[in-house]
Amino acid sequence: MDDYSVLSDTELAAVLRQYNIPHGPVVGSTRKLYEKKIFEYETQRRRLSPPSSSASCLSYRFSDLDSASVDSDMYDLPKKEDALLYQSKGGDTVARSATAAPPPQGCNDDYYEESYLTTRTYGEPESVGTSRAFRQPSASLSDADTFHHQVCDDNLFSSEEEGKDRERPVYGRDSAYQSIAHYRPVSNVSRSSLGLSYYPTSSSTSAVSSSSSPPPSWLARRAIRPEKQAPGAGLGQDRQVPLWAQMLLFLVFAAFLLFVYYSMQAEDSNPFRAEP
Amino acid sequence: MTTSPKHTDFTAEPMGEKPAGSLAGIGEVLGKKLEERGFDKACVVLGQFLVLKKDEDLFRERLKDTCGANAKQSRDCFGCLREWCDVFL
Repeated sequence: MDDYSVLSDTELAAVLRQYNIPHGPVVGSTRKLYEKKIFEYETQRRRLSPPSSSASCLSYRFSDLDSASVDSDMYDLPKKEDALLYQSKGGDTVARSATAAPPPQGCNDDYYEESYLTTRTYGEPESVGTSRAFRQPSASLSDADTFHHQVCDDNLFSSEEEGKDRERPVYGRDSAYQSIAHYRPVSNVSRSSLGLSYYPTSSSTSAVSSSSSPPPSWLARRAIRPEKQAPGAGLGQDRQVPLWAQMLLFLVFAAFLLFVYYSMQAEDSNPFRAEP
Repeated sequence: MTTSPKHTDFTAEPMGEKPAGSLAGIGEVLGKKLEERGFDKACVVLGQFLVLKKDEDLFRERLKDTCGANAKQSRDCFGCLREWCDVFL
């Protein structure tokens, strides 16, 4: 374990704040816990992007959001996945997507635009009648440079948005669920382009186009992944026995019952078939 | 989520000087371990809970590190303390 004990309490708290780890006061009883948390965080970061710079990473904002959400157990896995996902690419202040093979710097723009487009489309269902949320893609692309900075900006996912004309009001509305939801599309898009599969299937698949029908919950917005759209594959994950096998079993059982029924009928129709 | 009798008893009145073993989810074994670490009274555990800003993840992890509580035990303890705080704090 790294030697965090040289840091004073206030320094430790500063590090926690820098990593966006939610924390309380650093006192004697909590110190070890926070040291452990920092160690875990840095191990994760180091494990995923070895040449990572000292630039701050985004990942731990999830814990802040996740603790506010319903079930922490449910989020443990996604939280770690997201933490693994959002690592800084060398030199970027805030990372948008983690990749097994980090793309060249020139490709970052594409990712940001993609993520921005995706998040915007998701933003629309949540906006309560504001037309600002649903922007044409061209608008985003035209404003490429500033938007990249905006998207890169950590404040994208915070509750307060800078400037309503930035057309991201939805992110601020319900920070816990929405921010997670917006993380999902970002990560999904980036990962779909990389061919990684992460999240389990969920219902919503046409989220990109169905802006008019708001999904019931943020869960519905999780899957935009085209490869997860196959209903057979999706349903197959929910059932222990595959669907076709169940139907087959049912048909066999029905056939058996019919056989028994008709065989009994045959006996009735010819009661005197037996010995005289 | 159904609450155990221990939970109901604990949240029914101010904890006073109740031992840590009277918390929901904390049985004999865990109670002993907590005592060894200095958390002999429920109010001390409460203190730890409050210092961690009532954060579920942090508190449950702290419990796990301190006395080896499993997920259910830490969840019960957290729920018990949180409810107590809602009522009395």
